[in-house]
Amino acid sequence: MREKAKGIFQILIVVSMIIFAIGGRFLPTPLGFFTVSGFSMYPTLKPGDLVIGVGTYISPYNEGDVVVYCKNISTCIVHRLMLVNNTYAITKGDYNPSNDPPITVDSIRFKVIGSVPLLIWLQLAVASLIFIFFPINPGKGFKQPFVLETFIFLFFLLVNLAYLTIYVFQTPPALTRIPLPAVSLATLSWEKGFSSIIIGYRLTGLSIREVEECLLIAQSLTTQCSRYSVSGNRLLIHPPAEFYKQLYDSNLSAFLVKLTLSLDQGTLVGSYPFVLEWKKPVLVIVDDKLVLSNPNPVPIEIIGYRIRSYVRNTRTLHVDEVIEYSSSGFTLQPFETREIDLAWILSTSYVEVRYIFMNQTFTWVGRLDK
Amino acid sequence: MLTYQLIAGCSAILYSSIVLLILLTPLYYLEGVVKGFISFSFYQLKMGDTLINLPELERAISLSMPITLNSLFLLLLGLSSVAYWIYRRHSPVLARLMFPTSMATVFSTTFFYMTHTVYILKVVESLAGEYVVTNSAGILILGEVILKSSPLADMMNSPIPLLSLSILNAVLSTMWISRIYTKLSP
Repeated sequence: MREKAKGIFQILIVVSMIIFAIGGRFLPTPLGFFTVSGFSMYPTLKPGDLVIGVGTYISPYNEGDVVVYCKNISTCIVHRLMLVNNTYAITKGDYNPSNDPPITVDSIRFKVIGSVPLLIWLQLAVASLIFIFFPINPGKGFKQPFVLETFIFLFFLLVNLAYLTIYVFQTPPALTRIPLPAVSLATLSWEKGFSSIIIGYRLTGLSIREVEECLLIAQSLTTQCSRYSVSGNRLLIHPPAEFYKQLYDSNLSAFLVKLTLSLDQGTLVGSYPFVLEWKKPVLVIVDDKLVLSNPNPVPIEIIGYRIRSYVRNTRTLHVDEVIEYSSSGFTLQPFETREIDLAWILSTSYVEVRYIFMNQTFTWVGRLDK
Repeated sequence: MLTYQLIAGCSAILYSSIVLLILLTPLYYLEGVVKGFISFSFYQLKMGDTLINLPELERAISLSMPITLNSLFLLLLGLSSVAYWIYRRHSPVLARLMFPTSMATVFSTTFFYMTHTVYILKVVESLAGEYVVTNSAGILILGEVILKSSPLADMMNSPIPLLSLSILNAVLSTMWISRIYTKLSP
């Protein structure tokens, strides 16, 4: 009889535990117990935590409370209430980036009043079950059948669960990220006179070994870089003069430097845009001199120049005579400045210089006052 | 009874040896940009001369502690059982210890498999492949990482081999303990 009562008691314990565990999902129980299964409420609630909820018909809820709503018997969600009115409510997991879809207020079943971490509630539950199902007689100790076995089994089980709780359920899973070496562009510049292009990099965990390929590309023009050198994190490229000449002759000003660099780890392939601003030659008359400067890295052809001197009659102030002098052309080399002496001219004159710039002929006129 | 002791002991040695071998030997080798190896107990990954630390693998190492403990204890019990059998002695205490330990290995094996799938395999899969980064400097092609797995790693691809072994081990130790309790019962 006593054994039968004991058996009924054990069955009742199991049934009540099941009702406590899952009853709240489909019965209007005053209390509901749920276990957290994800990281959506991290760090407020962690996976495995036992959530204790009070029926919403007992304790009303407000915005900001953590509530339990059930979509169906198998799916109940523990999230924070963000917005609520008479018909619908909006919830959100503390760790989630956005709100959940709206839910009806009827689906909110419990207001969460507390939680117990997995490591505590599971141990308490297991220990309770041991004492209910394996009552220990202190006099017999481990000599009783299956008591030693149960303890050893539970010891290993709890070790597993403890590690699982500590290392898996405490922090959300992170993406595996390897600290990769990095490279980024620091500078794109010219050295004075366009003689060299400077490309500077910011390198982390990498260094430039050599230049595998260097091409200068402008529309259909493609030229190999004639000379280049690596200086630490900088690359100095010396474009050939012919390339600039080809650009100039084709009326092009933009080009790309396409590089393939061999690094100590891997390869860097990059295309860097450059724009050359072609400038007309600078012509001025200063101190009886005609000064012609070419600010471009290409030669500019000066077709020729002509000087017209107006000799005036000092008494009548009329122009009596016009003396004209012309000279053949020459080539103004890249960045060259040439001076033409005009000191021999005795009267006011106009200097007319004709030159070709970007395939067009221009005439420049300057006045020389005497 | 001695035969049960021998069979259960040998099964315990076999299972625990395989598990310890999986725990201690490198399961995956990486070649290319990232070089090194990964095992359950330790790993060494290098990019160039820089050692890489991965928190997921550190976790996997920590998570392998319960099964290491379980397997070492089982190995000890298995070796003791066989040693007792050699001297033709039967030990019911060993049976009482081996039964729950073997039962616990079924759970440990499940967690072990989960650790492998969730942490190690995930890391390994994310490490393998092409390393190409695009930024302001252009396209940085760091190269490829080739993954080679050991036969023991292939064994971990499915839970069936290890889980079957642990269940077999649990069944054999259950048979041994049942035999003892049957004999003891009036």
